[in-house]
Amino acid sequence: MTNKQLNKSQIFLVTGPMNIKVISGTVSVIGAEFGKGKTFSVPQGKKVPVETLPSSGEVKLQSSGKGRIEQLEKRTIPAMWDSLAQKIYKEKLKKILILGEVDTGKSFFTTYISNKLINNGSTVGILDCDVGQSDVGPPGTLGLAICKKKFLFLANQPADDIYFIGSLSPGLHLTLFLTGIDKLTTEASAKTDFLIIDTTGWVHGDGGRQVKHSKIDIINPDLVILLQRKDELEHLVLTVPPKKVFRLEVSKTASNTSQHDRKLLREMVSIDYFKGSKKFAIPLTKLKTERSYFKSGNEVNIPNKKVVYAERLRAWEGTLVFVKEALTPAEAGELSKSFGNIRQFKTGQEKYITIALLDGNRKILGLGSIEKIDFKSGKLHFHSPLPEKLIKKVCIIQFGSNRTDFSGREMGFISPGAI
Amino acid sequence: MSFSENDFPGLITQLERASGAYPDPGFSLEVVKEIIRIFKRVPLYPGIAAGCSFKIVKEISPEILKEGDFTLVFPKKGQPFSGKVKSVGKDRIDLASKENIKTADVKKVLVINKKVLEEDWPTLIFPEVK
Repeated sequence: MTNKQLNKSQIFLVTGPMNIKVISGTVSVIGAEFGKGKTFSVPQGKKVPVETLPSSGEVKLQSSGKGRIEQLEKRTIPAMWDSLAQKIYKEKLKKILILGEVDTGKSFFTTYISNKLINNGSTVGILDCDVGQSDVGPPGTLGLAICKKKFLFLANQPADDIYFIGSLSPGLHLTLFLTGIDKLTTEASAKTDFLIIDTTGWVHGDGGRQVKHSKIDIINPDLVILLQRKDELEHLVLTVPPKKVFRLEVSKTASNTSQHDRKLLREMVSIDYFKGSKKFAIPLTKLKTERSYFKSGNEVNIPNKKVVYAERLRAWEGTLVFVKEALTPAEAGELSKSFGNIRQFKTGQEKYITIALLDGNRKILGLGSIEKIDFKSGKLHFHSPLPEKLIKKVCIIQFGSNRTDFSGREMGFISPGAI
Repeated sequence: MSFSENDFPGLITQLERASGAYPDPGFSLEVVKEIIRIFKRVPLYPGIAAGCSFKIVKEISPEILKEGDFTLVFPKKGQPFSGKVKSVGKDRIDLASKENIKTADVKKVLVINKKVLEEDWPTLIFPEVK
């Protein structure tokens, strides 16, 4: 245990692991104020700036842990962030859209502004749209956190709702992505005073431009904040009324994350989500499916030893055929005379497909990973961290395009439309 | 709308480019097949497959050709020809197609690099689900 006395307007960088207790005075940590008797923790691998407030008297802190505290020469958070937070609060700018390339500190900025608003007694919704680098909710989902209490790390905020995309990139899932944003924005608007939308860093090229313009159309934000190094985002707001656009320079402390580290960070969140997963089996007769051809047609009998299960789909869609081994072109050609286009799916290929588990009202309960579709027993075997009582409510599954093993590790992809 | 909503047009552009980029149709076909093979490994990322397409073909020194490489050989005289390398001798290259050439008569050789995805996108390499 170490005691530390801070003077007015001093800034310290606390590197975890470290527990801090405020003995006297008030400090601000990423916009969250901690007064006398309050405590906060900085986990290993994290760093946070701790500032004494100009209005605060003498500040005494008690620290414990293996981390370190070092004094900074000057404030790393620009003063403009504070005036912006005030503007949002005073002018009741309810929907705030944050745009920035990757590694521009969007999550840190979101945390800071949220805490400033929470300090004023507001309820703040945070919609995390970064499906590949999720803070709120597991990877491959859009996450909504409704925050009434200050927090230091966005990743520790529990998701109040998620929307399943099933991919770590919106690229081939734009419709789902925008639908999810619309759904969660509507939900958040009814439950919060302010909504901050933290976006992906995909801002260039056809897809990046299109998705950001569509977001602006769907959300109709009261304020668009550009976190940019120079002018790299200006093309996105050319037609947005100037009074609705606020420009901020990217902090010099924002650092680049490598492709490898991004995967590690993503997997840490996913592994944490799937921690304690158990194996479950649900009769296929009890399940309805979305985002798949499987279980959307009528089961048909195909007299071929390679065929395990087959479903005639609608109109020109043909027939989905689960096979033990691939049909030869001649076999497939012969079958197509009676069953239309033959869509072959090799049994076993369903392993590790990430699925969302929904109740009968289409409310998403959580995620799972398929182990096997067993046509002999007529059951879907999967792993999920959900408790048994929630699993009993599952009657709809949504298929994703990414694969996750039962411990949350990434295992690749499945072609959209394959099943 | 003038934006495409996914990267498939870009991938098709690269397939078209590759199909006409080399003086030997057999080699062009192998390049096209390799682009498709990459896409099948990352079916959610047609843009990555398109990006990798630029790095599939590389020029190497004839001496470092290996058995099994698919190569396009430009002789100092005559038409380029392609094929799978059967063997590489001290001063001679034999292709499985029974064509051969003395190393001294080679102007340049191109090969298909089958490890582009591993080199550029190691985080997208996963074991095959069987």
